[in-house]
Amino acid sequence: MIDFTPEQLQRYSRQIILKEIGIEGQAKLRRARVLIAGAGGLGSPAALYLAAAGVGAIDIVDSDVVEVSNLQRQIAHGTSDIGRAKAQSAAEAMLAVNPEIKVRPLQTRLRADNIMELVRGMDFVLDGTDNFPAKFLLNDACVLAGTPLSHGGVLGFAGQAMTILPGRSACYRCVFRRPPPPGAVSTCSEAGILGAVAGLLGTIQAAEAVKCITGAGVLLTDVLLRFDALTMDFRRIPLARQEDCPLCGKAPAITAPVDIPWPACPGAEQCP
Amino acid sequence: MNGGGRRPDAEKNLVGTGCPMNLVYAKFELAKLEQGQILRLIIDDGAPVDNVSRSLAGEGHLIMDREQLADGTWMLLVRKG
Repeated sequence: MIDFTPEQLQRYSRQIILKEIGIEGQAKLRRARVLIAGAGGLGSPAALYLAAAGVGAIDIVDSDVVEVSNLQRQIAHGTSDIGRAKAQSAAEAMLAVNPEIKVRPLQTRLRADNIMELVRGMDFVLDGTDNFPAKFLLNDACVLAGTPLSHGGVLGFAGQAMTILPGRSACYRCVFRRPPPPGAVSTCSEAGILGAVAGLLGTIQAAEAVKCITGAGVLLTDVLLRFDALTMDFRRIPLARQEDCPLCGKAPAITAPVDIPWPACPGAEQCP
Repeated sequence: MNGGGRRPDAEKNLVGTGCPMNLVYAKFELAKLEQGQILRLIIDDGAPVDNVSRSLAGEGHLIMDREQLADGTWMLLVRKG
């Protein structure tokens, strides 16, 4: 269990010397299984940092292929990856950083009929998706499965993140009961997104994953962290698990994942 | 002076191993021990012995003994916290 080669000790030395990580934390990272949903703006930095940190097994799921407009922020992909499956491209970038971990690229959409299988057996799930149906699907599945989840989202210069420990801390539905009406909230292709802002948020999510796996520090539980990169203002909005939450409350109405109908927007092929 | 006569449960020679790998190896050896067991380290004078002993103490391990050897290196006896 505690057996690392000299090369591994060198590779992870800068986090092993952290009191909060140590050899024991590194062993936990090696044993951990993480699902990264989305290999885009959030999933890219998260995937690279979790691979670098030595998470032993990472599943990365994304149904899309790389497009030139992705390259402004989706740093797991390069110009030569245009046209390739994002999950595969990201997996290769992760293995280039750290060939010792296991990466499973999954080119599929998240749906009610596959989400529980994707989440099953994971120690942590990271929401790097770019649409509300997927965010609710991930939250619902993780709460039902009892799997810790980092929720995250970015738009423009702003980002938000919260970490969900099912049954213990507020879940996404405790805060947001249902998705907003389609079209009420812009997408990144409509309103824009700064690459570094996506990087900021995805990296926060990766740090939460490492902290949860190793037990280091205090997670973003019962808090919504929001930032505005235009001012670099960070604020924490306190949350609490709600007794009347339709998913994790006293009398849950939601007992299985559901696909939320979402109309394709005009020019949907351009949506990330 | 010598940890009450108790033999160490493990030993690691860190002479020539600079920072931070000397601390990494010390932590690696400690991780393989049970709480209360004793690790004997041989370590270079200067920043290495100072940094490693301070870091290990800061993580809750006890530096039971610290003795300079004839060649200028140091012997540390560390009890796992």
